[in-house]
Amino acid sequence: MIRSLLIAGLVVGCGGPGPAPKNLERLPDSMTRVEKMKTESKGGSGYRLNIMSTRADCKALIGDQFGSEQQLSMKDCLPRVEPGNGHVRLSYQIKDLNGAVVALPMQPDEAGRINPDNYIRVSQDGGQVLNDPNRGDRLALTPPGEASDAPQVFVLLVDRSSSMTTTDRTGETRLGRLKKALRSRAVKDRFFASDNNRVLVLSFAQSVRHEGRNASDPGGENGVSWELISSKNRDRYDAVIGGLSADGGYTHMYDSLDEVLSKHLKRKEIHDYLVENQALPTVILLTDGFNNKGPQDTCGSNARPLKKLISKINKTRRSSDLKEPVLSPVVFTVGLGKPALKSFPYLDKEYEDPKQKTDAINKKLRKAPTPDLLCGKDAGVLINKNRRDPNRLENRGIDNASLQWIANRGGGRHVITEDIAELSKAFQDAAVQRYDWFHVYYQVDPALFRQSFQVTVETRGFVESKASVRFHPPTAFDFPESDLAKAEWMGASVPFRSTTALVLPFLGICISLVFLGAAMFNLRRALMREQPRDNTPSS
Amino acid sequence: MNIRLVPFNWARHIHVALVTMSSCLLWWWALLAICATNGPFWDADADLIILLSFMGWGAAMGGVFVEGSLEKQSKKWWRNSVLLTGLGAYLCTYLGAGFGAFLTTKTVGGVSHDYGEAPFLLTLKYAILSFVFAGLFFGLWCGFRRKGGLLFYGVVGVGCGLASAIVWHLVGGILNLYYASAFGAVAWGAAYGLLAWGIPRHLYAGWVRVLSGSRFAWRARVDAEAEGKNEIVVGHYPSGLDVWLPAEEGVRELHVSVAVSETQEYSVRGMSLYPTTVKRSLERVDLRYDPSRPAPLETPLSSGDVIEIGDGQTQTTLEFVILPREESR
Repeated sequence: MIRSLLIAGLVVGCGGPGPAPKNLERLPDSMTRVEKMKTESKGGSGYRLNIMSTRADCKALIGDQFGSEQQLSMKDCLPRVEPGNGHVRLSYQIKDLNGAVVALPMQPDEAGRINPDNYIRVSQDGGQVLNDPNRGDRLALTPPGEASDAPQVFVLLVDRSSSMTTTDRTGETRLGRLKKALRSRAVKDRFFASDNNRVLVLSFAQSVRHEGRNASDPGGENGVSWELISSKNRDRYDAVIGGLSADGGYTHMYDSLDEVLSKHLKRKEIHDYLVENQALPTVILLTDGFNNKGPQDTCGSNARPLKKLISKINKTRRSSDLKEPVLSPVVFTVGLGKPALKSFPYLDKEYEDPKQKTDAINKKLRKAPTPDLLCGKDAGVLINKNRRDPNRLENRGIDNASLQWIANRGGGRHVITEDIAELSKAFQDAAVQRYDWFHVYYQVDPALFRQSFQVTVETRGFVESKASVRFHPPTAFDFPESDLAKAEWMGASVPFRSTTALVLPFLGICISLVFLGAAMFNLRRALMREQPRDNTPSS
Repeated sequence: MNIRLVPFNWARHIHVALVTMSSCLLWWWALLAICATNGPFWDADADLIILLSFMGWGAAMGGVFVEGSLEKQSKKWWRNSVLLTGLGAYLCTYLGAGFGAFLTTKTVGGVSHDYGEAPFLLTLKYAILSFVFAGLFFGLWCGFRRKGGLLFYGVVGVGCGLASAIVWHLVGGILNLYYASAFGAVAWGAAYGLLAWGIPRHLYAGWVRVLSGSRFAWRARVDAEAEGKNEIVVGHYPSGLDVWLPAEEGVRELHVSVAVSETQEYSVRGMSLYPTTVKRSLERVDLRYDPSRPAPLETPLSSGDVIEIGDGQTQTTLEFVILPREESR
């Protein structure tokens, strides 16, 4: 019987009760395993989100970072799960069809953090992880490495319509304020953060004009090379910005942006630079008014051309993903003035939660523009400025609705302001740095970690792609919880210290018990014993 | 382990358990250290099997340490014990745990699917067979090495597995698998030390010591083994007594005798009409001889009991203690 059991054990005693999922990677400092799931590219995008969940994934990254100030290890790259406090950290990067890493532009705040809602959406087992303190959820996104020197091309598309000469209370024209902001040191430092960055200055009114050295081909019709200003030539940048002048009539904003996306970004010198340097084109559209081509244009009549432009933006961003080795152009919009359509985007109800409000706005802006969606009750109101009709839209302010819509679909952000400092900040935000890889941190209820769970990361904004990994918790034993005392996320691993803290007291108790037995025996003897008495009879 | 620190009382029964549970905890610590420094190099499916094997190894090594420190052992004994008993226990536990895991796949429905989902902390049903069979194989090996009854050691091994499984499961549910595995290992060692081990009686011998009067600190050994006597008599008869005490101190010719049985049980017998009392915690036993009875009264003795002979000003106090045999020599 015993021999049979031993032989049976010998035969089968070499494996677990499987079949467990194979090809799982153990995580450093943890008994948790991670399983790589499939990646989905949304909208036919050729870019793929790669959650680094294997050592092979990380080897390339560590190799790239070798020699940099920040030395990387597998621990920095591979995912990390802390079941005790519900923390998860993932590393991800975007790769193109050829497997090359694509550096993504992201803007950390002063604390080095990025607003994750602008870039990613994280869900665990289908439940979205939000920055919701009431639920105990937290979400953070940081670029752990140094900024990539992957180049960017900033295309400034500046409104030169006659309204730009309007003076404000300080006696300064709108164009003057714009020049001040663009020539500020902070903006230039951002535009020329990398030696490979380039700036192309264009203006528009009824047509697009190149504001550069080659004035002989302002509209780009004659094939003369346009000037891409480099960081070595900041004086030239100052001169070009200083030379901006307002001379136009109507503001053909939609057509101009369409022309830049479909025509000028494909000019040979620009296209070649983008392709050869894997540069990211960022179009920054600045205007102080509305899109209008004639006196009878109304807000509602702009819906159809805006729909066409949005369609063009969508198509350009998608098609460039597939056919061009450059990243989707990003469109930022800056409005110089006050919003004319203050109720835009006309939400059905008030949202107390800013996240829910953002989701509702995004949902609305994903639809095709219609007069009602764009203008609300002002669909029939004329645009052109007129002193006798203060209700005219240009009398009220600028087209914040179109700018928000364009920026939302263009993967950028919109800013409406009159202040020079805010204007400068808007340009800085548009000229973000690019990073090769990112850390996503989140925190949820630790109870959710007691069985296998799947984490899905969805990138938004620049590249739309989705990838998942599945975590399998330990099956028999685990390391102790890390020390969170000095870190907001992912405390220091302390297996030895912590196990010593457990083992030594226990051994101390055992040793004490060893002495306790003898001590109690002697105590009992001492208590029971009577004092020796000399009861020998005296002689 | 120092037997001189282990009195012949309840401590004798838990001392081995203290050593084996400490040993199991140290082995668990070693397993964690291996994982922390080099990472686990085995398949994750074998985590529980490896953990149980380390528990078995630790308990067996604790037993070897106890056995080797209680009685002088040769180097060969140490070598064989460490290699055969220790590593053999590891292998047997490994095989048992693996066999249990195999049976789990065959008998517990849904394991093939659920194993991947791994709701392990709260599903003992996927682990219990591994624990039980690991314990069984471990117990059988220990019984084989210690030349004990295999049935007894098999039951002890299953007890170790069950105790460890229950603790592992409960602590895992309340805290986490870090503490669960640590306390599971402790439970395994504690069960083995308590169920299979106690410091043997034959390592101890009894002594009767005089605590009062003119012959204070006189003593006599009651020891059936070696050169000792299995019964000593206390009195003031002129010759042939093991402990002679003066009559002025309340002692009669043949007053009491202390005997030890073959099973190392001690008892005291009152043989005098004069007062004779055994005092122990919360108990007094009068052993004065009653001529109407066919035989003298007697009572079992345990270490630390006090025997009072005589009364009033003419009283002598004796103490009975059981000491480790090495000390008694």
